[in-house]
Amino acid sequence: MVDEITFIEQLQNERTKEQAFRKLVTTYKERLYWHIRKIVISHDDADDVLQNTFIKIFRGIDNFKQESQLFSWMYRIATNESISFINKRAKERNVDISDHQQHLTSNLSSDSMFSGDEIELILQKAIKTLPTKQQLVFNMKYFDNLKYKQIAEILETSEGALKASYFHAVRKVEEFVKKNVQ
Amino acid sequence: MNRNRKNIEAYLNSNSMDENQFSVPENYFNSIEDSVLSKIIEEQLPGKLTYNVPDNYFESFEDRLFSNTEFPKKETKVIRLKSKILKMIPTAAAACMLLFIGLNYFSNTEKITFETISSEELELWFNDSNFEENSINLLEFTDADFTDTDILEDDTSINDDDILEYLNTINNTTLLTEIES
Repeated sequence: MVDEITFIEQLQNERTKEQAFRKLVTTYKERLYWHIRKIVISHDDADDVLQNTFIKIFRGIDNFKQESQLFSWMYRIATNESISFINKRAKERNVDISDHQQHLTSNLSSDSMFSGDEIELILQKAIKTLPTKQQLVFNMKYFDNLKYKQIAEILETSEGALKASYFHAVRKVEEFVKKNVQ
Repeated sequence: MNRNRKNIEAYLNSNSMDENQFSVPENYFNSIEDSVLSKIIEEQLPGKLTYNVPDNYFESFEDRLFSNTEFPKKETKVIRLKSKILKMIPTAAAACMLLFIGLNYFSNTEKITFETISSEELELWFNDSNFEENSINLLEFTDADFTDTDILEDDTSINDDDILEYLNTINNTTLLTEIES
C-alpha cells in the first residue's frame, strides 16, 4: 500500500475518494470486525456495527487531522460504535451494561457462530465480568496483540495506566477461569 | 584471552553504556512489574477466540456496505434557488440603477408638445375629465373664436377621412340632438 500520508490524501480528494475508500475497507474490514465482534458478541450485531463504523469513517475522513494513525482513529470509531450499540441494547432491555453482556455470553453455548469448547466459553464469560475499559484493553492486548502504544492512542490514555489496567484484567480473568474450570 | 577480558572491562567502564544515551518510555520502570506478571498469567489462560462467521461473509462485505441505504451516495450538485437569487441580487441592483438613470436622463430628451399628442389621446383626456359647466376651463373655451373658418379650411388639421371616422364613432342620437337644437 502507498504510504499513509498519500493514502489519506487520496481518501480526502473527491476524485480519488471512492476508490481509496474501497481499498481501505478491504484492508481493515476483518481486523475491525473481530474487534467489534468481541464487544457485541453476536455476528449479526457485529455486522451492523461494522457497516455503521465504515459509514462514519467515510463521512468523517475529510476531517481526519492525522493527529493519530489512521488505523488507531478507525479502531476508536469502531470501539465507540460498539459501546454505543451495547448501551442502546441494554437500555432497551432496561438493564445495566454488565448485566446485558453477561446475558449475551450466557447464550453463547447455543450460538451457532461460536464453536469454542467449554474452557473458551468460560474465558468469554470471565472477560464480560470486567469493567468495560478493562474488557477493551484485554481484548486488544490478549487477542489482537496490539502494542500498548497503539492501545493508548486508540483509547486516548497513558501507557502506564493501560499496563496497570491490563494486569488487573488478566488477574481477574485468571481467577474466574480457575474457579469455574473443574 | 586476558587482553580480550581487559577490552570488555574497558568497554563496560567506558561512557558508551551511559544510561543517558538510551531512553525508555515514560514510567516504563514503574509499570514493568505489571507487564511481566501479565505475561505470566496470560500463558495460563485458555486458547484463542473461536467465533465463526457465515461463509463468504468478508468476500461480500463491500457489496452490502455500498448498497446500505445509510451509505452516502455520490453527491449531485444541487444549485439551490435561494443561493441563486442571492447571487443575482448585485446584478439586479445594478440593472435597476441603470434603468433609473436611463429613464431619467435619456427618455426626457424628447419634448412633449401639443403636436405630439394624438387627437385620440386628447379626446380620451377630455372625456375622462370631469368638467363642470361653470368651471374656469370651460369658460376659457368660450373666448375661442369658432367662427374662424381657418379651423375648417385647414386641411392639414382635419381631412375628410377624419371627419368620416369621427361621425362613425360618435353616438348618433347625440348628433341628432345637436342638429335639432
